[in-house]
Amino acid sequence: MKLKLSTSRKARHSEMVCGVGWIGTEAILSAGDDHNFLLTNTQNNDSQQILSMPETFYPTSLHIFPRSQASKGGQNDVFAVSTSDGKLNILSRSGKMEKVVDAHNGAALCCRWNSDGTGLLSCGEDGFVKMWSRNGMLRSVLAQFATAVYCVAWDSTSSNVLYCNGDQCYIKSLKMQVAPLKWKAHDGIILCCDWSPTAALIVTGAEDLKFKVWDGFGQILFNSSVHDYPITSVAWTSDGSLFAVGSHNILRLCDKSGWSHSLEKMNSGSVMSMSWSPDGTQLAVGTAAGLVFHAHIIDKRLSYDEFEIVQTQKQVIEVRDVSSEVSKETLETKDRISRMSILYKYLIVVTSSHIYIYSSKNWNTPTMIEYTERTVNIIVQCEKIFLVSDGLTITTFTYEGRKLINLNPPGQVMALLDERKIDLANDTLVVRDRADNKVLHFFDPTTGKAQGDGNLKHEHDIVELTVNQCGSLNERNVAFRDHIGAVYVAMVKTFGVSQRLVKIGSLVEQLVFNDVTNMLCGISEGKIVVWPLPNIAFSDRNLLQKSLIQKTIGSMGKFPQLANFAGNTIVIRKSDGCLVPTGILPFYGTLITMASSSKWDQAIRLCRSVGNDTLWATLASLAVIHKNMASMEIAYAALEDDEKVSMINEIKDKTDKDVRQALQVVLTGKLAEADTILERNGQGFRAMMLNIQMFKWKRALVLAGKDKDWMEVVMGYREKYLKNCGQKETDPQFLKMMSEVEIDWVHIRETIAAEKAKGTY
Amino acid sequence: MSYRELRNLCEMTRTLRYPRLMSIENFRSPNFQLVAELLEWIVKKSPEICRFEPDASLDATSISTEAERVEFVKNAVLLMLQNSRIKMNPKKLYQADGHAVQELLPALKILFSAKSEDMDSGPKWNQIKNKLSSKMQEVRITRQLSNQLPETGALLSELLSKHEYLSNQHEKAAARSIPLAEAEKLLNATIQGIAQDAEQLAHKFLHIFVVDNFLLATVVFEIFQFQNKLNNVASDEAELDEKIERKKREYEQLQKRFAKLQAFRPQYMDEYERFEERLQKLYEVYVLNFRNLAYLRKVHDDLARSERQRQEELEKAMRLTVEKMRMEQERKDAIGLADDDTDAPLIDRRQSVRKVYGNMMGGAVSDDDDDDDEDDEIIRMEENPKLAAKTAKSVDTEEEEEGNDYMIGINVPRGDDAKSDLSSGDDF
Repeated sequence: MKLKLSTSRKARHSEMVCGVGWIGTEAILSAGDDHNFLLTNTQNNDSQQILSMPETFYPTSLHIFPRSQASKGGQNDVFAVSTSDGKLNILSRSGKMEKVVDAHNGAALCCRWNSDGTGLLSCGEDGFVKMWSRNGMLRSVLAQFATAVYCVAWDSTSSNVLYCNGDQCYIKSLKMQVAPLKWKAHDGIILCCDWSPTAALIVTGAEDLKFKVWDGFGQILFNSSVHDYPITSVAWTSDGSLFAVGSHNILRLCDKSGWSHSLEKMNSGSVMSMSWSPDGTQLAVGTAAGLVFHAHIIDKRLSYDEFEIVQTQKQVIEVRDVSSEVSKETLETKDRISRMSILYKYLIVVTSSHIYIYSSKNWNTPTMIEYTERTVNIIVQCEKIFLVSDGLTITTFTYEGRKLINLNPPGQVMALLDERKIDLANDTLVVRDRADNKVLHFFDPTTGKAQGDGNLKHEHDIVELTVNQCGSLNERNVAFRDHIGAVYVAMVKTFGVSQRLVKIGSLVEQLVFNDVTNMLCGISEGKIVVWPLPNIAFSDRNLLQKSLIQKTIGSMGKFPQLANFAGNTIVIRKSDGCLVPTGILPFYGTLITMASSSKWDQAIRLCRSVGNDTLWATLASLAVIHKNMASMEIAYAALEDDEKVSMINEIKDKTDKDVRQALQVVLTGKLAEADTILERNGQGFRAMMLNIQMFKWKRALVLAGKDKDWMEVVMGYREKYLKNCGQKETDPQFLKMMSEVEIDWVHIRETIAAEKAKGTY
Repeated sequence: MSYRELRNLCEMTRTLRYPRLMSIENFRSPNFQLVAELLEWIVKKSPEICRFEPDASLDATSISTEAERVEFVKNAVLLMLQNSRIKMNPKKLYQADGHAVQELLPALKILFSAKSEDMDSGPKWNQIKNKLSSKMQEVRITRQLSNQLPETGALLSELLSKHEYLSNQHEKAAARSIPLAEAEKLLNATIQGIAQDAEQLAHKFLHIFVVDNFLLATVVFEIFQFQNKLNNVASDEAELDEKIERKKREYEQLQKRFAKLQAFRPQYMDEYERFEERLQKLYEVYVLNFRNLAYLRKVHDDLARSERQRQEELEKAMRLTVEKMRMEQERKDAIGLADDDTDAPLIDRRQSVRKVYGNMMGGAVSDDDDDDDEDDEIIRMEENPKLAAKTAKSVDTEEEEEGNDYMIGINVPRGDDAKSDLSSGDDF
C-alpha cells in the first residue's frame, strides 16, 4: 500500500498552506497565509480561488463541519478557521462569515469539530482550551496553561478531549468530573495529535522527531524511529485503519499499529496540514511551500485462497491466480476504487458510485449495483450475503446483487462503528449498540427483524465481537471481548436454555472464528489460543480447559494482531507489520468434520493414533455436544476421568428416558437442572439421593419432607457425614428434625433396598 | 512577536538547512546565544549561492561580556546594511526574544525566497546561462577578427606599393619589338611538342580512367546491392516480429480457450459417468463370476487328479494282493504236492495264475473301464474292509464339501484350498 501524490498546476498558494479539508469526496478546500481559499477538484486537478480575505487574515487551522445524514453536500457546508489574531471564524462555503469570535489572546492555534458537529474545540497560544457550541457560543473553558497548547482532538464518541501542552498529553472526560489523565508523551513540544474516529487510539507527533501511538489510557503502543525533522502533522483515516504522518519534505503512511506502509518524499517544505477524505482513501496535504497535494492509496493488496488481488491504479485491479501461471485478469472500473474485499470466492469492489461483485468463476461479468447514497467504510462478507456500511447505516446485499435491508443500528450517538463492532453470518447480523457499549443487538440480515433473543446486555464495555459461520441458527454463537480482555461466548438463540453467556478466557487481545469450522482463535499473553469448540463451555467447563490448544509464538513483538484464521493456518501480523503464518495440528478440524458427519469410529481411531489429550478432550466435547454415549465413554476413559466413565455406565444401565436425561444433565455438572427434571418426573427419591451424594443437605431435606422413611435416610447420612467431618450439627432445621427422627441404619438400608426394588433408585 | 513569525522562522531554517533544528518555543524566553549564532550564520555561512559576506569577521563564540555582545550586534547590523540594505534594529536584536525574530525574518526571507526560486526556476536559469555563453562566443570571435585586421592592412599596403613598379615593367615589356617569323616558328614547334605530349597523356589518362571507372562502378553497384539487402533485412525483421507477435497472441488466445475447454463440462458427461459407474459394477460382477468359474475348474481338475491317483493306488494294492494270493496258492500246492512231479504243479500254477489274471486285470489299459473299477473296489473291500470304509467315508465328505462349495461360491475358504483361493484372489 502506498500513496500516489499529484498536485494542481494552475493555481497555487504563494505562501504556506495552513489548513486543508474535504468537501464531499472530490474537492479539497485549502487555506493559506496568502489570505486565499482555494478549491481543488481532484478529478481533473483543477483549482480555483473561491475566497479572498483581508490582509490581516492568517489562518492557522481549518476544519470542515462533519458530514451529517440529514443534509448531504449542498449549501450547509460550513467550516471553522482559527487565525493568528486569536479569532475563531465559522464560514460557509459561499464565503459568508457566519460567526467570528475572539477566542484567544495571541494566536488561536487549532480548532476541531466533534463527530456530530455539536461542539467545537479551540486552543491557543495563551494556553486556553475552550469548547464552543455550533453557533460559536462559549460553552466552557476546559483547561488553562502558562504556555501554548498546539493541538486538540475529540475522541470517537465526543465524550473525551485530548490536548497537549509542552511535552505532556491530557485527556479530559466531558461526562465525568474527574481530573484529566495526564502523561509525559514526548521529549519535545507536541505539535500535532489526532484521535482515531473509531477506536481509542491516539497518535501524537512532536519536536523530538518522533510520532507515537497511544491507547485511550495513555499507554504507549508504538514509538517511531527518529526522523530528520519535527513531525508537524498527523491524521487518521475515517475508518481508523491507517494514519498519515507529515514531517519536513516527508509524508508517511502508517498502519494503525504504527509500522509504515510507505514513505513519500516531496520537495515542498514541512507538511503543515493534512486531511483524509470521508471514504478514507484520499489524502489532502498542505505544505509550507504553498502546494496542496492530493494523494490516493494504491497498491492495496488482498489475498484469499489462491487469488492475489492488487489495486494497481486508481481504477484498475489485477487478479492473479497463483495456482496457474497463465490466468491473470485485469479488472477495470468506471470510477475511483475506494474499498475492496474478498472472501468465499467473491470479490467486492466499492467505487465512488457503484458496488461491483465479481465471482471468482467468472471475472469478466461482475454484478453491478448503483450505490451513491453513502461512502463505504466497512465491508463484511459471509457465505451467502455481505454488508456495506459507512459506520452509521448498514446495508446488506446478496451476491446476486439484490439489496436486502437498510438498517440503522440502535443508539443515538454519532460515533462510527468499525469492523470489530459488526459481524455477519448467513442468518445473523450482530452489531454493538452505538450508545451503550455494553449491549449487543442481533438482527436477521434478510428481513431486518430481531434475530434470536434480539439483544444481549453485558456488564462491561464490549470492544470486539465475532460470530461463528457454521451450523444452524441454534448453534450460532457470538464470541466477544470486553475492555478488560475477558472473552465470552453467548448464544444468539437460547430457546429454553437457561445459561446464555459464559466466560471462556481472560487477558485475550484478539478474536477470530475459523472460516470452515467453529474453532475460535485468540492471542493471549504472547500465545495463540485456540478453542476447538467454544460452545462446550455451556456443557462442561473442564473439557473447555482441557481442549484448549495453546501455541507459544516467539518474537511476536508487543501487539501482534490476528489477521486471518482459515483452515488450519493462523496468520498473525507482528507489530512491525510482518505477516507470520503459523499452523495448528490439522486433526482438530478433521475431528470436528468427522463428528458432524457421524463418523465416530474414524474419529476414535484418529484420536488413538495421535494419542493427544487435547484431541481426546475435543472428541469428548464433540461427543457431549452430539450426545454420543459410546464415544463419550471412550474419550473420558482416555482422559482418565474415571467418575465420568462410571457415570456413563450408570446411565447406560437405565432404561427410563427421563432418568437418562437427568443423569446426562448431571454429567455436564448442572445439578440443579437435573434435580428439577427428576422431581418433575416423579423420581423424588432419586433426586433426594442425588442431593445427598452431592452434600446438598437442605435440598435433600426439602425433598424428603413428605415421607418419614426418606427423612430418616437423609438424617442418617447427614449424621454420618458430620461424624466423618468431625463437626457438630448447627443447622436449626436439622436440629429440629433430629429430635423427631430416629436413625436406624438397618431400616435405612431396607428403605433403600425397597426403593431399588421398585425401580426408582 | 507572534506564533506565525516563530513558525515561519522554524520552517525557513529547516528549508535553508540551518545546522541545528529550531524549536517553535526557542524564543519564548530571551536566548542571545541562539540569536548570535543565527546572525553569524545568516551573514557568513548560509547556503553558498546566496550568502551575504563570507569573509566577515563575526564570531558568535565571543559574546561572553556585554561589550562584546554589543559589538557583535553592531557589526552584524552594519554588515547587513552595507551588503543588502536590510535595516535591523540592534536594540531589538539584543533583546534576543520574539522581537529579535521579527528583525531576523527579513534577512531570512531573502535567503528563503532565493533558495525557493533556485528550486523553482531551474530551467529559467539554464536559459540565461545558455544565452550568456553564446554571447561570450561572439566576443571571442570579434577579438580574433580584430587581431587579424592590422595584418591584413599591412599586406594590402605592401601589395599596393608594388603596383607602380609592376606597371613600369609592363610598359617596358609592351614596348619591346619581337621578330615575327622566328617567333611564329618557335611557337609552332612548341605547340606541336605540347600537342604530342598532350596526346600521349590523354591516352594514358583514358586508359586509367576507363579502368578506374569500371572498378568504381562495380564497387558502387555492390554497395547498392548491399544497401538494398540491408533495407530488406530491417523490413524482414519487422515482418518477423509482427508474425511472432501475432502467433503469440494466437497462442495466448488458444491457451485461454484451452483452459476454458478444460474447465467446460459437456452435457453427455453425466450420462457418461453414469455408464462408467454401471460398467464398473458389471465388470465387478464379471470378475466375480470369472473367478468363481476359475475356482470351480480348478476344483474339478483336482478332483479328477485325485481320482486317478486313488485308482493307481488301488491298482497297486490289488496287484500286491494278487501276488500274495498266488504265493499262498503256491505254498499250498507245495505242501499238498510235495512228492508230486515237479512238472504238474507248474501247469496248475500257471492255470490258477491265468485264471486270476483274466478275472482281475483285464489288461493294464483298462483304467477307464467302470466295471473293472467297481470290481476293484469290491475286491479291495473284501480284502481290507477297514481301509475301504475309511476311503469311502473320505470320498463322501469330500463330495459333500464340494457340494457346499457349489452352493456358497468362494466366500468360504477351506483349509486345503486356501492357497489356491489366495492366488486367485489376487485379482481383487
